[in-house]
Formats: sequence, structure tokens, C-alpha cells
Amino acid sequence: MALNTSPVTPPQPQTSGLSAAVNALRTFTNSLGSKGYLFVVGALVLAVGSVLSPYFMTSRNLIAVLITASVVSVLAVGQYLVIVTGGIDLSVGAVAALSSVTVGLALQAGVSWPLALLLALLVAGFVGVFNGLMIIYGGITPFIVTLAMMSIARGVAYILQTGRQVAIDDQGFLSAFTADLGPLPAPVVIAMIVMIVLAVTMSQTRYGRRLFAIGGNPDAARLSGLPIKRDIVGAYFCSSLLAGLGGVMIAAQLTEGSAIIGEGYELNAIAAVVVGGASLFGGTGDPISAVLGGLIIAVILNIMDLLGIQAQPQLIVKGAVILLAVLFTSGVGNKLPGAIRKLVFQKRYTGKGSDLPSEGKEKEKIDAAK
Amino acid sequence: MTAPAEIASRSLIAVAGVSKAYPGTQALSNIDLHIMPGEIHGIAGQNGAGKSTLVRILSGVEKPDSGTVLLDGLPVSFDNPHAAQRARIMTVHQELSLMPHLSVAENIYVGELPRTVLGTVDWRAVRSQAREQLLRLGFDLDVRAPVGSLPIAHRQAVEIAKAVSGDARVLILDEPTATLPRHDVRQLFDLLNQLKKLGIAIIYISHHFDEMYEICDKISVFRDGRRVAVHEADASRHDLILQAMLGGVSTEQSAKLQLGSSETPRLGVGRTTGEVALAVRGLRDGHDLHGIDLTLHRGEVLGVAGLSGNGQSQLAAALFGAEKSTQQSFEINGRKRHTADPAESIRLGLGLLPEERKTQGLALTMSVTENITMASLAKFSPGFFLNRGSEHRAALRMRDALVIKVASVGQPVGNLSGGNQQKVALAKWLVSGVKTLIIVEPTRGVDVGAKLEIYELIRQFVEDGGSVIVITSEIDEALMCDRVLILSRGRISGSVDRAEIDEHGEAAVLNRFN
Repeated sequence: MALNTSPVTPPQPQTSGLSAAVNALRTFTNSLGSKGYLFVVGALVLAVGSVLSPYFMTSRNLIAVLITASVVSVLAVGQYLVIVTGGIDLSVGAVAALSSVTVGLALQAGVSWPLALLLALLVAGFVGVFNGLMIIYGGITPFIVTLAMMSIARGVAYILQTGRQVAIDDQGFLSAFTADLGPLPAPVVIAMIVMIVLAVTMSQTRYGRRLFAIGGNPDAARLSGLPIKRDIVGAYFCSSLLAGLGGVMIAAQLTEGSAIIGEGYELNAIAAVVVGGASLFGGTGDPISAVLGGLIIAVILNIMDLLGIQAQPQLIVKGAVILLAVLFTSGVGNKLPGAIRKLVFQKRYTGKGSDLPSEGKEKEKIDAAK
Repeated sequence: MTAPAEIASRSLIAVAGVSKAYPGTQALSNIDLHIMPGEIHGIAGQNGAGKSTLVRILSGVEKPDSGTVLLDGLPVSFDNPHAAQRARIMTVHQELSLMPHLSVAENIYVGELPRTVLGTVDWRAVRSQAREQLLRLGFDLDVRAPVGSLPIAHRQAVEIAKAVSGDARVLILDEPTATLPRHDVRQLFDLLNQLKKLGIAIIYISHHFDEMYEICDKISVFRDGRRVAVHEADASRHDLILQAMLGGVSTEQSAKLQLGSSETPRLGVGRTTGEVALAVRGLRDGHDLHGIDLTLHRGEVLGVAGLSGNGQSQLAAALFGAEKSTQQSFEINGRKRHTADPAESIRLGLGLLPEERKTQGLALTMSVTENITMASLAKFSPGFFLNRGSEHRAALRMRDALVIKVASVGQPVGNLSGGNQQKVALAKWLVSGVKTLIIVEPTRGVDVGAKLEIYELIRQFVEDGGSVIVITSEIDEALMCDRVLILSRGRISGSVDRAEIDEHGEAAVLNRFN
């Protein structure tokens, strides 16, 4: 029993309630690591949602949000792999469309669904390898290569679709990608698996470390003997592959493949990664934060839906969230805790008088100088 | 005795009670410094002593946490570098701040390009004035050439020309001669003496004491963020200055550093064997290297000496396979090198410590551990996953063996001082187990104390069976090697062995420079 603990405990310094609370909050967020602020913001958003709408905290609503967010989460994790190398992949939305049309046409042609899935992923993966090779050996910046590919992939999807509807009625396929697996729907489970696999890859494998190194300093990585060309092509391959998977997931949800799906998804994926705190210069962040970033955006949009806010103001709020997230995680964010710290603790320091003498001396010197 | 207030009012630029803290370090504490018009004030101190922080505050890059900067005795506060420049405080930073795609002339006059009556840029005037500025410094350069195409020594000249072009009142030079060949240093000093006569206050930061004794009036010594001493700039005060700067360093160590001391440290251990560690014949890269023959024996420290701009970094890149080259034969540790690829060189047991460690050697945002294990990830992942525990232990081992000063090995490398960064870069190769190292300018931007440590680490590496090529523009460093090749305009123009160095000293090598 705790017999001899209480007598030796030193008296705790007296702190005001506010500073204690701030301290506790900081200790808590620090213990969550770099994702601390995402959990805090996420909890805040959930709290606001449950206050504003009685329907928000229902499991039906929350699961609907998760399903909506699952496709963007898969795309965001792929996007993250590219962004961590300092690159960007603008083609993911178009690749998702291409993949949805591919899987739909294959199923219509009577191909078994696992084979149709494989075919769609192969097409998507090929696009990614092409992106990577153009960037490495063509010497074209990722922005331009994937911008061009965004147009090409969607164009190919339109041509394959040839104007007709590509309906999907393969029950095996539909249930594999939409049925409930235990308490959670399949798309949510798929997104979670993708997230966990890539999170482990980034933090626990050589490949993940090499991607960080490439984003941190490509010259140093190359001079350390790392195969940076292969790794960069690999990152674009993974991004496209996951975009293809996302396209298949949408196709199952809509029961059709279509060249118009995934419009703007590349920007949603990038937004998720950025809200998750990764720098577009590369070398930072992690896949779980990217997913959390995407979830925060999805929840905010859901709350506005529940409140009956129109789509147009929602766009403005989404943009504002992205800007705020970047402000918070980059330059200003780094200064913010310091500023808060000063505000909260200034009284105690000046009370001790440790800052006063130097301030006084400073004033004297300035006076003397005049 | 003069009252502090009086000194402050007569001085051109002064700082009073300036402090600045960064996360984890107190970079400056309560610094007072006064510089009179026409005074050249040297600042000496080890890396991390606070010299660069002071420069950043004076040039408006950072604001002090407390304290004041006084110009003409009046407190001033700079929100940004431009504000400092408007007050005519010009700074030549240690890291060059030129725009590589712009021409020499544009770089010198950027921000204040002369205009014609029509308001357009007067390019004729820009070019002729830029040329004039450079000629004052003794450099005859094509002012229309993009800065990126110039060798580093010339870029430094452009940087200095840029600083003095704007009618400076205060000129801050942060290691201006680090990349300047010796004979160009003379021209810089002539210019500084001219500026001095014009009443400009000059702050001169350097690791080279001989230069400071020659050009400075006074030398302030910084240590651990404090100004611990100020002395007349005179070689007779060298012991005092060194003592103040090094603090805890033994007198034996500081004796080695004295000017003209006969007892220079040796890098080699004199155990050169007949076996070949690296041999290349007819190495060319198509522009800067013109047929280099070079043989490094096992256990040898081979110096490659030459004034900067003679192909040093190109030679290192070609030897390591970082750049394409052609050659008749290329052998590393007894095996033929097939392709120019750093990964292949490392497999054959060759590592490179590059000249620009911040841009080429280290990933600054990554941790000390991650940098140390970067070249040997396979060792730390026997299966599919990285063994982060053994990575951590390897980093701790290196931290202790190399005395790398870090709060934690999880700390980003970018926060470390130059000397500690160099140790991390070296640790990367020690962990990888390569037996042959190419080291370019081993102690550039490294303070005196850490310099000795790095020499000792190189010696230890050789003692443990390693072989080293030291590519250097510092004559002192070349003299520490077992054998010295002279690099001149992309060719090996001579070879000096140990016996000649011991007999003739510096002259043995210097005489071969053209």
C-alpha cells in the first residue's frame, strides 16, 4: 500500500486554475505527438456538431460521414506518399474515374469481379509508373506531369465509356465493396486497412524512411546511396494504385463506372494531407494525420449539411479550414504556443522579479544613450 | 575611464544588453558591444558561441528577446533585413544569398537598380557600375554571366561587392574568407582598409586568427553566448584570446593551434601499406577534370591540395560516382567500379563527406539518428521492418564516441552547430562500415575546438584500418597528410611526400602551387 509516499511528496507549487488547465492541455497534446492538435481540433469539431444538431451524434450519421470520407482517405494516403517526397499528384481524381470505368466495363463484359478489380488497379498503377518515369527521366516537374495526366486519364475514361452508362449489377462485387463487415461498412474497413498499412510502412520500413530522406534532402539521400529514382517512381505508383482503388470503391457505391466521378478529388486529397499537417516541401507528416485531416473536413461539411447550409457557403468554409490548418501547423502555429505561454505565465515571472532588473537596465541604457 | 554612456554615444553601432534564446539554447546572453566609426572589430568564438546570432540580429533577420541595438547612439529596431539595409547596415552572410539565375550585375544592384530618365532600368549603368565595384575588389568578371555559373570564390566576391555597393555605414562580414583563395584575401583587406578610412564601422567574423590580427583593431571573444573578453588585435595576445575562447580546452591542445607552431597535428599514422584502396587512371568529367591519375594506399591519408576553384568538389563527385566521368580504369578496394553511382561506391566500401554538408551531406529536418543510419538502412532492417531500437543504440554509441553535443539523438540535425553537424555526417560513414573515405574541406565552417576533434576522429578512422583522401584548400590541412597531390586546373600538377614536408614544411607544398 502507499504507506510511505505521502510524507515525502514535496509541496506542489500553487498555480492558477487557468495556467494549470493550459499546462494539462499541453501535456496532453504533447503526449499525442505530432497528431496532438488534430485530436484536439477533431474533438472540438465533434463537440460543436453534437451541440448544433441532435442528429449529429447518431451512429447512422457518423457512419454515413465515415463512408463519405473513406474514398478521399484512400486517395489522401496515396497523395501523402507523393507529398512526403516533395512532389504532388494532381491526376488521382481522373485516375479514380478511369479505374471506375475500367472495372465497370470489365464486369459488363462478364469478367469475374476479382479479375475486374485487378484490371482496374493495373491500369491505375500503369498511369502512376508513367507519371514517375516522366518526372525522373523526362525531368518535368511533378505538377506539370500529373496536371497533363489528369487531362489524359479523364479523356481516356470518356472514350472508354463512349457516352453510355456503365451500370454495374455484379452482386459479388457490390457486396464486397459496400456490405457491412461486422459493425463497419466495407469502404470504412478498406480505408482503415490502407491507412494502417501505409502508416506502418512509413514509420517502420526502409522504404518509408527513404521517402522521408528524399523529401528531407534529395542530394543527401542520393549521396547516401539510396535508390531515389526507383523510390520516387514507387511513390507515384502507390498514389495511382490507391486512386484506382478509390475509383473502384466509388463505382460500387454508385453501382456504375463513370468518367465524371472523382472531379476535384485530387484537391480534396491534397487538402486532407495539408490539414493533417504535412508540408508540401516534403519530409514531414504521416498517413494517419492525412486521414484525420480528411475526416475533420468531412465532419465540418456534414455538420453544415445537417444545419441545412447550402453547398456554396460550404465551399467557403472548406477553403477557410484549409487556410487555418496551414496557418496553425506552419509558421504562425509554431509561434502560437509561445505567445500563449507568454500571455499565461508572464505574471508569475514578473512577480518573481527575474525579468525586471534587465528591463530596468535596458531603460537606463537607452536613457543614457539619449 | 570612460563612462559607458559616453562610449555608446560616440560609437557608430552598438548593442546593449542583447539576449536571444532559441528552443533549447540561450544563443546570446546580455551582450554589450560598441564599434567606433572606422573601426574594424573582429569577433572570435567557437561554433555555437553566438557570433552568427549576433549577425542575424544586427542585420534584421532576427529580433533580440531583450536589449537594444544602437545606431549613432540611438536605439533602432529592424523588423526585417531590408530595414537594416535602409539604415545602411550591410551584411555578407556566411551562407551566400545570391540569386543563381540572375547575372552578376543584377545581383549586385538588386533592389536599387539605376534608372534612366524614362524610369526603365539603365542596364548600361548597372553593368558598368558592377564592373567597377568588382574591379575595386580586384576581380575582373563578366558581369553578364549568371552567378550560378561562377566558382564559389567568385560568388563570394560578388557577395562582397553587393554589400559595399550600397553606400554602407556598417559592414558585417561573416567568415568572408572561408571560400576565398589566399591571394584574393589580400585584395579584400585592401578594400577594407579603404572603407575604414571612410569611417565605416566593420564587424569581421572569422576562424582565421592571422587574418584578424592583420586587419582588425580589436577582437571580441564570444563563448556560450557571452562576450567573455575583448583584446587589442595583436598576435601577442593570441594566448589570452585562445584561452578565453576555448575555456576548458587544455593548454596542450591550444599550443598546437598557435601560429607558426612547429607541432602540427598529423592525420596519418604512418602505416601506409602496399595494398591499393582506390586507384583511378585518366579521370575526366568533360569540363573541370582533365585526366587525373590517383592512387590511395590502404592506411594512407592522401591530401589533394589546391587553391579553391581548381576542381576540388568536381574531383570528389567524380571519385564517389555522384557525377558521370570517363576513365581508363577505376578500382575501389581491389574491385572494379562499373558505374558512376554512389550506391555502387558505398557497396565497394567508399564514402564521401561533401564540402557542403548542409545541402549535400545531411537532411536537416530529420533527426540525428535518422541521419546517422541513412547510408546503412539495410543493416538496421534484417527482416522487413526497421529495428528502431538498434538504430537508437547505434546513434547513442556514435554520440558518445564522437562527442556529438545534442540534447537528444531524436533532435533535428538542422539545430546543431557546424562542428556537430560535421560529426553526424562522419558518423553516418562510420556506422556504414566503409573503409575508404573522401573528405572535402573537413573543417570548413568548424570552430577551432571542434576542428581538433575532427582531425582526431579522422586519425582514429585511419588507426582502425581506414584510408582517407582529404581534398582541401587549407595548406595547414594538406601538411597533416602522409602524401600530398597538388590539384591545379583539373590536373595533378605535382606530388609531395612526407619526407619533403618534414624537411621543407609549408614551402614543400606552396612551391608547387602556380
